[in-house]
Formats: sequence, structure tokens, C-alpha cells
Amino acid sequence: MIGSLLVANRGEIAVRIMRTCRRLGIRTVAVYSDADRDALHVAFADEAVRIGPAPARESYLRPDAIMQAAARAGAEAIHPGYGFLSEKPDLPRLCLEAGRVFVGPSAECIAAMGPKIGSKLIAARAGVPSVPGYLGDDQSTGRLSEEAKRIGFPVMVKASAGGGGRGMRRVFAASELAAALDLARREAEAAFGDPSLLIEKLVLRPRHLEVQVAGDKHGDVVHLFERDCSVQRNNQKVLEEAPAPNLDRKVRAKLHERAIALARAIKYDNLGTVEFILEEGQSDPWFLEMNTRLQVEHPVTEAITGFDLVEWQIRIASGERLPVMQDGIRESGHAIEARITAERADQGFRPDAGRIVGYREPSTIRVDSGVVAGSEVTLFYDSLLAKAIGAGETREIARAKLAAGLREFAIFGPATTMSFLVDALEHPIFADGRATTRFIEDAFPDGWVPTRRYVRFARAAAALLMLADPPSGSGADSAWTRLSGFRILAPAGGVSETRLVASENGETFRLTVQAQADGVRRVFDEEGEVPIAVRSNGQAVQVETDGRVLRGLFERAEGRARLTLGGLVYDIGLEAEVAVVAGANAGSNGSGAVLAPMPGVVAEVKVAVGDVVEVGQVVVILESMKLFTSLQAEVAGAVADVYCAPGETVPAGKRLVLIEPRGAA
Amino acid sequence: MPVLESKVRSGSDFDRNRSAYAGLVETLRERHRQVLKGGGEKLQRRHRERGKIPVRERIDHLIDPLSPFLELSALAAWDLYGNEVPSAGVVTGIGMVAGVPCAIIANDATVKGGSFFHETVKKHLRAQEIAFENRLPCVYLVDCGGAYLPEQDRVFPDRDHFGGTFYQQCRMSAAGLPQISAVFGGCTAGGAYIPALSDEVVMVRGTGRIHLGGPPIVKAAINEIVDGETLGGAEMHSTVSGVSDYLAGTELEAIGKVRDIVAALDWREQRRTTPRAPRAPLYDPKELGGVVGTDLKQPYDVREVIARIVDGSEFQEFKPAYGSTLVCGFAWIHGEPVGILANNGVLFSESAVKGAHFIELCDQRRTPILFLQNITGFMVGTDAERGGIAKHSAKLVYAVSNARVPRYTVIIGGSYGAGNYGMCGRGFQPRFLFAWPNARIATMSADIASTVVTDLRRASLTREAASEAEIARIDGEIRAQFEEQSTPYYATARLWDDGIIEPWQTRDVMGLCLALASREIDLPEHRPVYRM
Repeated sequence: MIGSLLVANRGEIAVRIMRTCRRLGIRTVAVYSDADRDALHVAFADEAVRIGPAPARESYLRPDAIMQAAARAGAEAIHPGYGFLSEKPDLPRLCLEAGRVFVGPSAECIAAMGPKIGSKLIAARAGVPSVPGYLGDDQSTGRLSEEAKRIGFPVMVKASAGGGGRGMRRVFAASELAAALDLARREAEAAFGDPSLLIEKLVLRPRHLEVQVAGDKHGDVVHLFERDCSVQRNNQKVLEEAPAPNLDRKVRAKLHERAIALARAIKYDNLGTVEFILEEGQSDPWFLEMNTRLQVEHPVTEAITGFDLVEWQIRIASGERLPVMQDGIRESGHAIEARITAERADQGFRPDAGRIVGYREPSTIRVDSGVVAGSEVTLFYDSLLAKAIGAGETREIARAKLAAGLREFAIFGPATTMSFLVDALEHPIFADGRATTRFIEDAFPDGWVPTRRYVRFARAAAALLMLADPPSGSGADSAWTRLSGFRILAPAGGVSETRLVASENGETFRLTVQAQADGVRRVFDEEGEVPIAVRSNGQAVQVETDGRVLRGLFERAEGRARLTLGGLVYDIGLEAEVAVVAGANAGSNGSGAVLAPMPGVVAEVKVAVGDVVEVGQVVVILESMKLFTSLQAEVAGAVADVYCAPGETVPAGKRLVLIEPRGAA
Repeated sequence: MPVLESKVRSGSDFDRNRSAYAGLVETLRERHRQVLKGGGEKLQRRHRERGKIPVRERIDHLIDPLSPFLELSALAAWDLYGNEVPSAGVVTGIGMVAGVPCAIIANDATVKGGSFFHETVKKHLRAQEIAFENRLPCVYLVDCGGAYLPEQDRVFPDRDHFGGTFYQQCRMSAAGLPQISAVFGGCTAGGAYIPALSDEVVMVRGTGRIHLGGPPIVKAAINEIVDGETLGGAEMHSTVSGVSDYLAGTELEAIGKVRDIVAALDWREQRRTTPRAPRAPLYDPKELGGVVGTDLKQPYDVREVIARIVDGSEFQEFKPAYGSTLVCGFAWIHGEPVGILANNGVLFSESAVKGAHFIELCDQRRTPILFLQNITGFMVGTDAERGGIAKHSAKLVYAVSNARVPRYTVIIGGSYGAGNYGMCGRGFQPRFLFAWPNARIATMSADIASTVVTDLRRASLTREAASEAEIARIDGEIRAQFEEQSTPYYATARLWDDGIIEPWQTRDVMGLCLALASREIDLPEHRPVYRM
């Protein structure tokens, strides 16, 4: 077996691959771009080699840079991970030339499954049907109608040269076809300069199913059951599970047979995944494509089979036979994976970036993560931060464990999809195992919005937690920092009160925290007292309200409290009211009076009573000693009075304009 | 270190004591509740309507979020002037501003317009004295109308009257202790010098006023008719006269500015940590009421009190088998080292010299001293006098007076006669002096006073023999006088102490006091310890 391995990837998958290497005693080499110098996968590896600047095109996507790094580090083998170079034939070819082991299938396998049309032809020859369709040269309306009838309605008419939805038409009956073809041709002509069309069977409620296969260099091929990855957004998988729920036994067998048939046809010699599409409730899975690499969602298969798939990859690449044959592969239980990405699920999954200031994994479920506290999330790469995998005897247990684990999982910093994932897991459609790729629009027709069920408690708890520790920055530790809220008159009601201004989600609101004589803290917001009691132990917090106990995690960072409650991250800025007021007027002396700094003649008055002025706005121009001086407002507010007129001679110190500061009582 | 073991945690005496003590504490709380209202609801409301913030709320804003505030003499002027000058119209205390413990002196304008009564001046001066001794910057939140004229003879002319406050300000500034004022209201005549003698001044637009003579005096003196704002408004003083350094739009802004000023002091003296990690006592301080009870004649072991004040109830007792009526020993309170002298009965010669010896030890070791006073006096009688109690007790008084380390006193019971002196009473200027609600402070108890005076009358040679009726009348009068004048409220109203505290607050209050001082115990030389 190999003794050293370079992982030509980053993030969670690089770490996950290196974990197996570590267990097998294989020396690990990481590669990194400039953006990843301090990334977890670099810290995790035995050795790391820089491969270029931050953009992937100039680093992780450069086969030459990877090969050079492997040469420099003396790595015997290269693992491509997923994405980047994993499905290009370059690395296996270059490895062959350089005498290194490529941990993946042969270049031929990769090349065979790369092209969309070519792979379908190979599948067809192996007896594996793809989505029925017509992509012939005869574009006559008669021929197209005939083909559509053969395929069976509903069908999708698409521009052959197309993409991006233009020139696409859904046709549900023969009677609609002629008109649809006409429109689609015109759109295709206009958009791509080519009116030719193709026709495909329209799958209305597709399930995305895939089969994990493995082959070795000795001609053996096995499958490790299927996965259901129907929950997707923008064609990106979100939740994946194994085995597929609510799948007829015969359909299941068909899936496995077809996957094996295709893998055999191309002499597939490592781990790969054959993807299928299945109309919900139908029994004929159609081949979509084959992924000639390790999948993001491989852990669910590991969970139900008990194998380490990366270990398999390495052993197969080293020339070993498959560790077990088909009759030795058993499944047990159920597993579900959730992909945690740095995205705003409430804003169309817009990627978010920033520094992870707090990070805590749940201990109850498997987590494959590429980040730690302090990691920088950039927009250069995929937004996947970590994967959480819940596994159990039944699907219900796996689902419940995963949801509970996600609620315990705290990532403070950039927005993550954590709370969306919990809502998705708990939605009845997913809970019943009825998800199709339309799941998100079915489950959240108006778009997903976080349920801010505990926002009032979160704000109050944040205030209590922020004030729980001694004031930071004082550096001193004495009774003065420890005996917080102490008052001799407290038992008589003369208690310590701190007035805070909190800001969250662009809103500001006031909170008052009172320290009672018995040490109890009370919080008041604009509605009155917030009935909570908070206990904390390190980062872990318990918020008790109305006889319910909510568990969460807390972290403070630069005047902000970050708190998870009910699976949602609340990011709340907290400052003493007095500091907010002082900050708002920083830099000015607070005077709304504009005075003549020297004797002179008023050249121009640029404001009138009632005008709203901003700090720095010129209000009067004074001519003095042949020089024009612009006099500016030092506060923002409304002009309360003007005491001068153009041409007037004024002495030094005369008040020229008075501004009523904004927000003054 | 040896750990004290309590023997009195339950039992009928304990329960009776505890419930009786709860009554005393309830009285204290009721009186505290009363003064917390300041000038009363109506005036508070008017104050707020003018955009002004109540005085204790100003302090909440000024000090660091939820940090301690050690308020002093909240019951000053209690039961004086028809009880219409709660807290003597000024709130004083120590609080942390931007991490710096500062002395805070804040007028309550809802109390007689923030005018200065005799007790106001005394309280003001006392806070300044504490600031001076403990090297604390001073923050004045000024909102006052100058001397209360009907009382001017008790406010203005004497050594420790109004002038003294300005003298202290000047001296403290010269000693490097920053003097910072925020002016919220009028500062007329003498009041004008509080800001004028400050290192930095913030004034609030619209309400802050500083003038040596207000509009009525200006009119009377030079027949000029002028409004207060033109004469001494914040804007004029911040932009024309330069009397004020910063103009604030609102009170809150002014308080924020004071915080900025203190933050910019780069005050290095507070940067210390407690020498040891603090530990709670093994016994609940709340049990103190049950331990001491309300009857001063009922003896108890003062170690029971110490065990409920010091860290881990640990007490390294000095000379435990000698002079046992004065318990001496080393302990820690909130992580600060402290030497404790606590009365456990009448003082004999042995107890007095033991105390003197122990004070020498503390002085040599730079350990602050805490006196727990519960003392009827020194022993009298032939044996005592022949044994030289006068010179031995004098040794204790001498040691108390000349100890260079910070000294603190808490009156936990009786404070009578020369015992008050030997145990560092007010006359011996401890850094802080607090009393418990069961305390009694007088030359002697009412019983003894009555005996002394009636005996004197009986023995009088210049007057005819006293009738039993006259003796009874004298007895009644003397008892009434001593009973009234020896209560802790009579004392605290007159600033004989720095406030009455609930017994279980003693540990925290002392923790705060000790933390202020221990950083500056840096004495130039050592002294010998004379074995006595």
C-alpha cells in the first residue's frame, strides 16, 4: 500500500481523507492557496505545499501545480477529493506519467463518463435506459410530433444549443405540441441563432436516486446500495440519505442492477456513483450521469454499511482487490446527512463570508468539518462548511438525532443554513419520506424564513450573558469586578440598573438589566419584564422561561453577543445606552451653535429656519481679512434660528445659527 | 490555615435572635426605602419632565455596567430638619468608571434644590477625604443651589464647612487626583467653584448654569438685568468664557463625556489583582443576625462573626490563650489579606497589650487592619488600676493611632467610652467606618449614665438633698437622652460613620474597601515589633 498521499483539495473533504490516512499510517500532504494558509486542512496535514493565489483557477484547478507539489513533498499518491480536478482525466494521466498513484478511477473511465451524450450512449449499450428523448437531425414538425408521441406526454421541448431555460417548453398534450414547437423554435433562433430542438420526457416530480458502486483493477464490481438526494436547491444537494425511503423493492433492485451493469461496461476501477432520476410513484429509474469520484454524501453509505470508503479507494488504487464481494456487503439502519453551508437560506441561499468567531460541534452525531473557530470563510470556494450525519436503527431515529444535533451545533460568524436544515428535516413532506427535487418549493412555497420564536428571550438572555462576566478590558480582578451589581441599598430596592441599547437585524431596542440583592438578575424590555432565568457553563447556556428550558450556546465578540436558541443564531450588538449616546456625538463638541470665529462680514447664509442639516454641512460663509471661511454644522439636526443676514458685520464669538441637535430631549 | 468551626447554627436562642434581628434590618430597609425617594414623587416627576435624570440613575449611567457602587451615609441628616433632607441631598460613594474606582459626589436637586445643609457639607467633605486617602479620582455630578441660607452659620464659615470642600479639591488636584465635574443644574456663588476648581468640566446645554452671582444678585449689585442662560449658560461657558471644557446636548451625553474623560486618564493605580482567589465563608453570612441578636448584654463568641465574614472561614488566631477578651488574627476577605481585632468581652490589660502587639505585626507586614467593635469599655476596679490598665490601654490607643496601614472599623455592637478609642472609633480616622443596625455609640450605656448622674445629684454638696421624685425625673431624662443619642441612626444622621449596613453585607463592603487600599500599601521602612 502507499505510504504517503497528497490531497488535491481543501475543506472538509481534505480533512476527512486525511483522517483515514492517519488511521492507516499514511503520511499526508495538503495543498493550499494563499486564501487557505491558515485553513484547517493545512493545519491537519503532516505537511503542506502552497500551490498558488486564492482563485481556484490559479491554484486548486491547476494539474501542473498539484503534480509539482506532489513531487516536492515526495507524495506517492494523489487523492483528488470531489469537485476541482476530480472528474478531469488530467491528474490520472499525469500520475501515470510521473509514476504516482491516482486514488480514483482510470483516465479512461473518467473520460467515458464525462460527456453527457456520450455517457448516455454507453449506458444505452449496457442496457441502462436514460430519460427517453429525441435528439435527431430531422427537425420537421411531423417527425418531432411522432417522437413526442413515442416518448409519451408530458414532454419537455428544449433548444439543442440551449441552456438557461430559454427555448424550453413543457407540453402536456399532443394538441399543444405544434404551438409549443413554434414558440420554442423562435426563442431558440433568437437566443442561440439555431432553431433546432430536442425533446425529452418531462419528469414532473423527480426523485434523485444514486447508487454507490466500487470496482477494482481485477474486474470485480459491487454496489453499496443507494442514496436518495432529492432535497436540493439550485441543483445542489441539501439533505441526503441511505437507504432511499419509500422505495419499492423491485425498483430498488432495478437501480442496483443498472448501476452495476454500467460500471461493468466501462470496467470501472474505483469508487463511483451512478445517478438516476425516478418519477415519484413510477418504477423505471432513468440514468442521468455517473460521478467518477467520491461523493460529498458518501458518509451516509458508510453509516449503513460500516465501511470506510476512503480506505476502499486507497486500497483499490494501490492494486488490492475489493475488500469484500457483493455477498459480504450488508446494510443496517438508516442515515441522513445535512450539508451546512455558509449561506443565507432566507435570501435565496446567497453565499455569506467572514470569520468564524465561535464553533462548537455536537458530540452526538458524526460531523465532517473543514472549519474551526477562527477559520476565514471566503467567497473563493464552495460554501460548504461541514456535514452532519445522523444515523440510527430507523429513519425516524436518524432524522431526530440529526435535527437534535444541528440544534446543538453552533457556528458563529457568517450565516449558515443550520436552522433551515432543521426546518427541512422536520417538515412533514421530508418526515414522511416523500421529498422530490421540488421539495423546497413544495415545503416553503413563499421561500423559507427563519421562525424567530425565541427572539425576545434571546435578546434578554444575551443582555444577561454579556453582563455576567466582569467588564472586559479592565484587566483587574478584585472585588470591584467580581461583586457585580452590589449596592448597600439593594435590599431596600436601591438596586443596580444598567440600561442597554441592543441592535439586531437592523433594529435597535432598549433593555434594562437589574441586579437584585439576592443576586438574581431581571431584564426589562419595552414590553416589560422578560420572564427568563439564564444559567451558563462556558459556552453552553440554559434559558429557562415559563417552565421550559431552552439550551443554546453563547459567545461574545467585540461588543456583540452571539447566541443559538432553537437552532437559530441570534447576533445581537449590546452597548450601554450612555456609550451609544457618546458614540453618536463623537468628534463634535456637541454644540448646535455656529459662532463667528473672528470678526467679519457675513457673505452668505446657506440655511433657513427649519432646514435639516448634517454634520459638516456649510451653513454660513464669512468674509474676513479678504478670506472666505465656511462655517459648518457640528451637529446634525434642524436649524432652530438664524441670527445674521448677508452683508452684516459680526464680532468674533457672535452666534450666527443655532441647530437643535437631532434626538435631543 | 486553621478553620473556624461554628457552634451556634441553630437552637431556640439562635432562632429568637434571628427573628429579632430581622426586625432591626426591616427598620433599616424601611428608612433606606424612604431616602431612595429623594425629594418625593412629585419633584422626581417634575425633574424627569425637564429632561433631567434622577441622581442614582445618573450614577447607574456613569459607572460601568452592573458594577458595584459603594454608597456612603445614605441616612445622613436622617430625622433632622423634619426629615425633609433625605441623604442630606447628596449621594456619595465609590464606583467604577471605565474600570477606574472613582469617588462620586452627586447632588440631588429634588431635595431642597440640592442646597447644602450642614450634613451635606460634612458628607461632601467626607467623600473627598475618602478619595484623598484612597487615591481616587473625583467625579462631581453638580446640580445644586449653594448654601441653604437659613442654615448658613452651620454651612459657611468654619474649618470643615463649605470652604473646606474647595480646599480639598485644590489639594487633591495638586496631589494628582483628577477632579472632574459635570454640571447638570445651577452652580451659583460658592457652587460655581465646584466646576471652576475642577480639572475638566462638562456642561449640559439648557440646564447647566455657572455664575458667581445669579440674575437677582446681578440686579441688586450692578442693576444689570440679564437672564440666567446668557449670564452663565452652558453654551456661553463652553464657547466664550472657557469655564466649561465640553458642551453636552443632554445629561446622558454629559455622563458619557465624563466616562470618556476618565477612560482617557490612563489611570494606572487601579491595575492590580487580588492577591488570592476569594472563597466564600463556610457559614452563611445571613446567619449573623442569629449569632449576635439584638441584646447587647447577651454575650456570644465573636469568632462566630469572623467565621461568617472571612474567606473560607479561615482565621490564623494570634495569642489565642492570652488576653482572650480581644480576639486577634489574620484572615482574607475577598482575596485581600487583613488583620482582625474583635472584642470578645471587656478589655483587660492583657487584651490591650495583645492588641497593641498585633497592630505592630500588621504594620510591619503591611496588612490592613479591621476592627470589629463590640465594647463596653476597659476594665475598671482596684485590680485593674493597680495592674496599670490606664497605661496598658493607652498602648493600644497609641498603636491604633500610629499604625501606618489602612484601618477599617465596623461597629457590630456597643461602642462605649474608651473602648471606642482603643478599637479605632471615628476620632481615630479609620479609612471607613460602618455600623450594624444593632450598634450603640455613646460614652456609656443608658443604665450606667443614669447611675452616674443620679449618684452625682445625690452626692451634690451645692444643692439640697434630692427627692426620690427628682431622682426619678433625672433618671428618666438621662436614660431618654442616652437611648436616643446612642442609636446608630442618631450617629449616621450626623456622619459619625459612613453608613449603616446589614451584617451580611460586611464581607462584601470590606472586600470593596480593602481592594481600594491594598495597592498603595508601600511603606518606606519597617518598624520593630515591641513585645508587650
